[in-house]
Amino acid sequence: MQAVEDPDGELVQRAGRGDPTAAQALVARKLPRVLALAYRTLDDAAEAEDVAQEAMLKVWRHAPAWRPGKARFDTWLHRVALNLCYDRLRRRREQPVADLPERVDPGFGPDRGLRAADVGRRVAAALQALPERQRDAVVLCHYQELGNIEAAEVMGVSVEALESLLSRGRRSLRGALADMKNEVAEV
Amino acid sequence: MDAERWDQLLDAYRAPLPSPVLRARVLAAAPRPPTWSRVAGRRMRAWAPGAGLAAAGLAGVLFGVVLSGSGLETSADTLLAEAGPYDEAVLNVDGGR
Repeated sequence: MQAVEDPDGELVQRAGRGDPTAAQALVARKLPRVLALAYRTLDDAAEAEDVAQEAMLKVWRHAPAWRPGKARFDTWLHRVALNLCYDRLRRRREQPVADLPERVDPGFGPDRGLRAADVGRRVAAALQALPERQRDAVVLCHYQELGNIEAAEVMGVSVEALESLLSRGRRSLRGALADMKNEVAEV
Repeated sequence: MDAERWDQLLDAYRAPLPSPVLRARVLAAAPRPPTWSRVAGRRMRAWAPGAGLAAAGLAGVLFGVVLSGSGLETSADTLLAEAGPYDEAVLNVDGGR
C-alpha cells in the first residue's frame, strides 16, 4: 500500500531523534487538539488533561520508530486518545455514581461573560446526552475538523456508517437545541 | 437555523487550552538528543557479551599457558635430578650454548 502524505510525519521523526524544537512544535500543534477531543468526549477537565498527557507520552514512545505508513499521524493520535477516553468511560460506568469526579468547568474569560458560558453548557449537555458513537462522530467531524474518511478510520467504522452516525447526531442536537436559535447571535 | 449559525452555536461549547503545567510535563518526557555518554553506553551494552566471552577465553588460554609452563620446568628439574654424570655433562653442554 502506498504511504499517505503526512504533514506531521517529518516533525514526528525529528522529535523522535530528540530534536527539542520539533518536540515543542509537535506539542504546540497537537496537545490542544488532543485535550479538546478528550474534554468533549469525557466532559471533565481533569480527566481530559490526564488523557492528553497519556496520549502524548505514547507519541514520545512511538516517535523514534515512526515511519510514514498507511495512517496519518494525526489520525493515529486521535485513535489513541479516543481509546484512552473509552477506557475511562468504561471505568466510569463500572463505578457507582457517587464516586464520579466533580466536573470542572474550563472557565471563560471575563469578556465572554455568563451568557456564553450558559450557551456552552447547554450545548455540552446536549452533546453528552447523545449516544456515544453519535457524539464521537460529531466531535471528530465538527470540533476536531477531521474529514469523513479520517473520522471513520479513527472510529474503526466504514465511511457510510460514520455519515449515518453524524447525520443522526446532528439531527438530535438540532432537536435538543432548537429553542436556542435566537441565542446564537448573542454568543 | 442556517449552517453558519449552527456552527456558531456548537462552538459555544469551548474546550480548555493546555495549562503551562501540562505542557511542561509533556515536554519533560520528550525524547532527548543522543549524548556521547548515552551513545557510548549503548555501544558498550552491545559489545559487553562479546567482550565478556573474549575475556573469558583469554583467561583460559593464559591459565593453560601458565600450567603447561610450570609443568615443563618441573619435568626439566626432574630430568636433571635423575640424570647420571654423563647425561649431566651433556645437558650442561647443551644448556651452555
